[in-house]
Amino acid sequence: MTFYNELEKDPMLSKAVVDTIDEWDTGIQSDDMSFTETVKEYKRLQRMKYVFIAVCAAVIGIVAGYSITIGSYDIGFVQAYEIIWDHIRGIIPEDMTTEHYVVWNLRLPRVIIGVFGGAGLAVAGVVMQSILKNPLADSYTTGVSSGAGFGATLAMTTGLAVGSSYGVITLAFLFSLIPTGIIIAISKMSNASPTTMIMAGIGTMYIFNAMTTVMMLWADPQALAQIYAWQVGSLGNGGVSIENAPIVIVAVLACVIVIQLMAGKINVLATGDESAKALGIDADKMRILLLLITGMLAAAVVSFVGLVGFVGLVTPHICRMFIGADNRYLIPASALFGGMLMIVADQIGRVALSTPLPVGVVMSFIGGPVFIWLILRKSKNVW
Amino acid sequence: MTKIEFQNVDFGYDADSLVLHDINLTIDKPGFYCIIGPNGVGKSTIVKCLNKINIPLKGKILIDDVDISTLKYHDISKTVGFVPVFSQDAFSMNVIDTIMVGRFNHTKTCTKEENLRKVYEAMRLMRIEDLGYKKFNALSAGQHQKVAIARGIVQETPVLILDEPTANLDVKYQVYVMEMLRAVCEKRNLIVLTISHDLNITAKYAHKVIMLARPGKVYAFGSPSEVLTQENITEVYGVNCRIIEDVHVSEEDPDFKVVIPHIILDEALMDRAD
Repeated sequence: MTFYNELEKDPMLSKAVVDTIDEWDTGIQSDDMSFTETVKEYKRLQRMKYVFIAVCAAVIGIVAGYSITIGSYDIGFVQAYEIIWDHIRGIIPEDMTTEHYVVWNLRLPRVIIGVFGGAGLAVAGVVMQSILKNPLADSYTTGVSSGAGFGATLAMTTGLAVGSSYGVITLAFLFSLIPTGIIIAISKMSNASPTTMIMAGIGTMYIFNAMTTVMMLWADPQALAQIYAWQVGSLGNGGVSIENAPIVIVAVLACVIVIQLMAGKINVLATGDESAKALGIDADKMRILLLLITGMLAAAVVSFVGLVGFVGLVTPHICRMFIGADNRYLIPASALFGGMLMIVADQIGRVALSTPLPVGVVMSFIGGPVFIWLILRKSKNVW
Repeated sequence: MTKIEFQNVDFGYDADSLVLHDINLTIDKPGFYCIIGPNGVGKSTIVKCLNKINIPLKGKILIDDVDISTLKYHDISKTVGFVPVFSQDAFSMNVIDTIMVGRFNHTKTCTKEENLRKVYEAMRLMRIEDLGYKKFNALSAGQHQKVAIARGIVQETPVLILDEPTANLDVKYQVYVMEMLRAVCEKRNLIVLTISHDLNITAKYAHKVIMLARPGKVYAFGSPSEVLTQENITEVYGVNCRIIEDVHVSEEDPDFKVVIPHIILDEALMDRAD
């Protein structure tokens, strides 16, 4: 007995099912109204995602310009962009050298490193949450921040930080790679399940935090204040300078572009290991590779700006509420939203009180309640 | 035409406790194949061997005479589609995008519009076209199941494996899905391999039944009336039963007959050691 194309003869199949199958096999007719409506709605939702991304980009443009005008030296909004544009082209008029110095060397690094740093942390958060299937995954729970914290503390207590910021940056970066390495090693030894990996990350986080605490107990008061300021995370840190801006830009852009190219695969990986393997993705290898890239991305950012929290954890959630969980859109949206959040919070911190507040504190103060409000308002199955 | 072959396959999560013992099985004809057997006998385990989700400790699995251990996940995925038992995704997308993930291997060769069309066709087949923009996590268990089956269908692979496709479905859709899968095999010349717990629905719609028994071996393989006999069911499941045979003859072609065993389960033999 051949089974093929015996539909009409098969006594086990009812006419209704045979008709349904025939209709399915023929495909959708071009005049099918409900399909046309579905496509229209699909395109509308896609446009909304682009609008969200565009709005974030526009806000960055405005806040960045405004941010450069703020300070004791008076520079206008349009003028700020003119100066930047002139400076890029190498035109520095004789009578404008002070303005150029203020904009280029003092105010611009803060904006650039803020935008790219926020973008980097947010993208790292999106990817970590997707591949570890955990809404609490970020640079803290994977241990990256604790590693960086220990590295920076080590540099500050041993005097490596004296004179230049590179001691802190280098040690913070190197130590922040260790937790990622440990997570990968542990997942190789047992199995690479997402839960194992996040547990390994949290375990590593405690170890590094304990070591940092010990170092701080032994530290002299001056180093202690320095460590404390670094741990809060700020765009006023020594690492935020025009010389370092290109490093941050290149590191963040490179990682984000690579991650964006893998966004379709991340979507598949997020549906579970078995289904990912069945769709042709080596889930274990892919997860390790992505963890390595995001680990380096987060490390590159925190070593310059310190332990800025909130942006990496919360940006992905806020963006998911607006545009959904499709990583192909979520990654660019989170990058821009994270960048925006960072400079907006920094700006508020600079102008709100007479003493400037570090960006991490502002973000948590304002972002925390806003985030809880969003959860209450749009709690329907985002997670 | 695709051929699947298990040659002396042993599998266990560790070498001391094997789940599958010396599995030999050849599927070389398109059709609707159902795997049945008691709990813990290795039904899910055996189908996961076909995608290299489980890697055998011994023996070989061949797809079209190629040992799959030499193939990459990507190569296997073009031939064998697999939909695992539904799991709630950590971050859910809407139904269309969830099913669209099944088109992953077609994203380079098909336009977005074509993929959307395939997704919509599968949704219509599963009668879920009105759920398109609902979040996956907001659906009921039965709706999840329908989305999962649709995701399997849009993969358009010559072999499709579904782990318990009728779990969580109401009676109407249990019958519809099984009948539909049988019809899809016949229409598109596919091998569809499912795991099933309902003996009567399996008997009615499967072309072939694979019966697994403890300790993880193939006990019987053949047409429903060959496999689902009183002796086999009592031996493998430990349940006394009666069988009533029902002959269905095609109206179009009187030579086309299907014999369906109806199983009446009487009592579970609880004193018997399993």
